[in-house]
Amino acid sequence: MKTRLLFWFFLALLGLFSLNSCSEELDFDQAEDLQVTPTVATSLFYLETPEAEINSAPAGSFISEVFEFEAFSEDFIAENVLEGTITYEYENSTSKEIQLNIEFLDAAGEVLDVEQFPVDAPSGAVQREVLYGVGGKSLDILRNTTQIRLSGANRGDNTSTSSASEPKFILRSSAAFRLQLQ
Amino acid sequence: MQWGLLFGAVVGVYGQTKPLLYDFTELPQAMLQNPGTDSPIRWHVGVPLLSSYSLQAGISGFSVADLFANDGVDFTTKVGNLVRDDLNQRDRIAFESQIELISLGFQHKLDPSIYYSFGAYADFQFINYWPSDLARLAFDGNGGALDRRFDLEDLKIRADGVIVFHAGISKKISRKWRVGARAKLYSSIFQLQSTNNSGYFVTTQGQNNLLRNTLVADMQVQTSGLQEIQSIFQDGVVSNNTQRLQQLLLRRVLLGGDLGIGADFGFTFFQTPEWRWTGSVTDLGFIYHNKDVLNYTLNGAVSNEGVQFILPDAF
Repeated sequence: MKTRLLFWFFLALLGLFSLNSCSEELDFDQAEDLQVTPTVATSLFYLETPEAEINSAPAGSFISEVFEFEAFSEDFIAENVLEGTITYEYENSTSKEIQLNIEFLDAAGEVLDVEQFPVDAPSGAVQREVLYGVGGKSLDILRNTTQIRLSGANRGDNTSTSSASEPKFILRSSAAFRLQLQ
Repeated sequence: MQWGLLFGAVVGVYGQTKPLLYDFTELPQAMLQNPGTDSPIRWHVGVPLLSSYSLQAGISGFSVADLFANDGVDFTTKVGNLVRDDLNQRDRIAFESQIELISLGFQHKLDPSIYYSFGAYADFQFINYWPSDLARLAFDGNGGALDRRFDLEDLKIRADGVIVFHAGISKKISRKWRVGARAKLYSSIFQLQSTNNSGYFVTTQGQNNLLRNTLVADMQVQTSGLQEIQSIFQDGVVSNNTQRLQQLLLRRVLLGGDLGIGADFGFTFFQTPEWRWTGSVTDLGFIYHNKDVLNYTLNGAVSNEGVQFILPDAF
């Protein structure tokens, strides 16, 4: 009698367990929701000008150079960039104020955007972050940029000399882009 | 005793690729696992392509059920947790398939303690260890990872397809011992391997500029037999490609690929009528890859801080 009771008890238990399976429902479609969006960071360009060079430059302009810069317009970046930040940092230990302009040019030489930096004399390290994408400037500026024009003008005189050791103007820059890989 | 248990645990981790067959003496395929198997079979002939087919695939480090569970957790978050925390360079994705092409064997007429066996099978393997740091770099990028070294040595991948022709003999040499050996001739269809990589990618504060990206790499991908297969698929005309692919594979199956030799050794030791020990070493050998070889190498060191203009020498 006891054995029969035990048999029915375990059979009922087995039935109960079989009704309450431990397996979870799977959803393979959620793989389509995967977002792979790494942030890629790199330096862009670096400018260093000693005060003597600024003093010797004619008509106030100590640099005006256009150089090829196709990092932004590379297909991989242009097609996948979601947002970006360009960080500029300048430092001026010379005795004169400086006006620095960075122009983003397209393949036809048209100016897409300009970053202007009126620099005090002297100036410690000053940082500026420029956002591109949502809440910032248009990403198309970066996508269409193939050249950059760096121009620097001396807003002071051509004779004074800073008392700092090795007086110079320095511009540093870096970029961080969030890319959509998946 | 304690050492015995430890030994067992270690061996268990790297056990037979087809553990279900091991010492299943009634099956002729058990002789491929241990040529010294004490088989009761008097003769055997396999049905080509049907008598033995095995396929196994596996992953370690996570379960598909956890990843794809309909649990309301964002899929990207789940993958992110795997990439950042759960998976490491010891986890792997592996696939192995073996198809028996020919199999036959028989007892020696005059000496039944000797068993001869012959055959051929196709073996395909793929194993990819999780490239932990590279996956993290691809998923999160180097932004916000200043001074973090992404190791390149995590990249370990191997894939190969090979036809194995074999001939074996086993003999009961005494009341307590049966030993066996099998000679093998390998014909490689293709091989890809990238295992001895080293180096790193790191983003640090720059000497002049804000950031410095440095890549130090000593990496190599070795392939053989793939270039010709790849060129067939790049030809464009599907019907021609199928024919060419068939011809190519047939040629390689019939010893037209890279060749190699190998051997298996095994034994059965009958300690008592109820207790026996078996052991085997398989695939001791090599394949000499010298046909259709294409290797890719990345070797060197480079650092970048962007375009630099240091006046007056810049222009």
